[in-house]
Amino acid sequence: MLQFLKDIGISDITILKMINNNSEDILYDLECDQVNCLEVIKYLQELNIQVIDDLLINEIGMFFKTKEYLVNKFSKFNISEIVDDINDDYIAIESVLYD
Amino acid sequence: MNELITRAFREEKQAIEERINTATILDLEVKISNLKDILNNPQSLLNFNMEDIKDYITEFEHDNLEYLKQALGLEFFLITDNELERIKNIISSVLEKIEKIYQEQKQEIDKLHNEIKKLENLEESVREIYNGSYISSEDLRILVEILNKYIDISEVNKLIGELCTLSIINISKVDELELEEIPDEELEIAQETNIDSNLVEALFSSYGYNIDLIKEETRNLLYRYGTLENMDAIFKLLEDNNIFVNIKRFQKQFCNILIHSNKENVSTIIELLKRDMIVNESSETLNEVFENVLCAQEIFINRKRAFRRYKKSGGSSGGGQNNGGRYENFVINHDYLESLGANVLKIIDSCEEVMRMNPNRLKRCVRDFDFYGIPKESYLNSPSAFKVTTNLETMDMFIELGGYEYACSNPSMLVRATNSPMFYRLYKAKEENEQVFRKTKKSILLPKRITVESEKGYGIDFTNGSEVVKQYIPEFSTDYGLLIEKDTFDYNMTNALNDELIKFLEENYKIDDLRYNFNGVIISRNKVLRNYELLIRHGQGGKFEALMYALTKNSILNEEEFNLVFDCAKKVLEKRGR
Repeated sequence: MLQFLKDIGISDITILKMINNNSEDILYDLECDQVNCLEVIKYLQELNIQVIDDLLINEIGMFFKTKEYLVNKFSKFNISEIVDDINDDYIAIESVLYD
Repeated sequence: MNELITRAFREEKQAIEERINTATILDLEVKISNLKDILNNPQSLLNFNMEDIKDYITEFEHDNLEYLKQALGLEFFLITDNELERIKNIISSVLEKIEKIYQEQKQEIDKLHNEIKKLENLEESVREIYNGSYISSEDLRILVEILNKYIDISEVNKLIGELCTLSIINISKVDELELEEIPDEELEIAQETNIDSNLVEALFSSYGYNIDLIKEETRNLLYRYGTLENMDAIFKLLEDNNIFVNIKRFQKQFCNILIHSNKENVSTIIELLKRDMIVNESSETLNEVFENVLCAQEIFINRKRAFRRYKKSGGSSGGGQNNGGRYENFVINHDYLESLGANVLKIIDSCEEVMRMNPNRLKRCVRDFDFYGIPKESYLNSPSAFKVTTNLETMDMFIELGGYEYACSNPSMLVRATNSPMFYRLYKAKEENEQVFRKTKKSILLPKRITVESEKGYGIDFTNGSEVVKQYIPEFSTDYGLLIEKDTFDYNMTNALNDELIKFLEENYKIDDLRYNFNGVIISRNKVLRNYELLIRHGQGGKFEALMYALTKNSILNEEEFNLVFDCAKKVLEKRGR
């Protein structure tokens, strides 16, 4: 399961935590939507977000969003400030997602 | 029903009945009638007993009326209009006073009758517990009050314990009825249909879809398990609603829906989404909103329909675990969240997992949040918070470590386990008097040395938190944790609040509804009450050791802090000895 994440270097521990923290259904859905998920991860890396593991474990829902959707959400913030906040405390992503 | 409870109800009823004084009210009714007669016919004053109204008029009025009464009785005395008017004025004023008293008395009697009615209803509710029903915490509180009047306290505790246990068992039965797991053998598994691939391609094409965008492996599932009628009905419904699915992106999800779902389910979901769009004045199109829920394909599929499992003609469905759809969950959760005033579209958009989760879990999460006073707008705007079940214990940790406001601002953080390094780091920060909570425009945040695991803030990782903070782990003669785990907390803490040990803590150490302060050591009050309540129900009530367990469960304390709590709490024993 989630081999596509292992392929881009997501650790076994993170995958294990994802499995513990999310239902099998949603992980299956993520498998189904893996192309999109990889695009989102790439975008987060471009933003210099360093807590992607935490986001995969705790905010899996955001990996079903399209890159365009997230670009639009982030565009409402000062990117470097919000990225710093997220890197400090991943929970700051909620400001972006649920705004 | 237990004879003691029946007797207590009977005696309480008698006590109320004795307070119903109908004699006074009947007497007042007679007086009112007589006074009205005088107003209509002043001559009837002659037959009126002045003693009846003596208490309601002044001495002067009384004498005046007496004089006029005597005058009325004299044949040769001609009473003037002015004098008649005076009689009427005095009588009117008395009548007004008596009518007022009458109304007050009547209201009092109605109130008492109402109390009896409520008592009878409560008695019925208690009786119903024995027939599989359950009782609300408010009813339980009233019941305890009544029983305390007529039965010895130890007997009351026992009776209430029994009723609580029964009530909890019944509640869980109700929950099970609503959401019983579908046994594997009862799941409906897709049968092979082996429809002509050309017909399927033609059907897709007739609605403007290019089936070649779907990978062969997924396409083959459609040919093998789909039915043309079902697919056609779903396509037609989508077309009628101007929904055109991006089948390249959602190929697996969409094919699963075409195979396992039906027109009725898809239609219900579309109608709910349309309603949400109107209620929340959404700027998105129905197509966009629909694609958001499409990620969670199983919400289109009934719970009884095995999802992702197929059956070859004449063969078995193969292994695999129980995995029915989540359609019913979605509908129940949708209505529930809507009733809470949530923007359901926003939840679907940001964390659609909430929509498919077990509705009981969702309801329980909401009760947990309410129990700890987390603002509704906070948790409804932070839907990831619904994903965990350890909310209460994590909340206790935040309270004890000074992070209550942080948790209220970010309820999703309640996903953290109680042994997360984050809590040990918070403890260290508190110990070193560091201000770690940082307010931003939108919320309260913590620095990465606390939150990010790889940072190893304060030298703490997953393995060494307890060691670094020199946590004191007390030993107890009984495995209280095991007793607590036997039950699910039902938010009823009546037993605990009536317990003498807790009453002592409440009087001496409670600083607010959330906290006790034991010489500077903060302990979550709800944690103590919740755990001690469950221990009482398992026969541990009144035991100091059980109380200490409830006080220190999960708390990160060093030995000195533990002793501070212990010394404060043990004062209850001194009080007991007096």
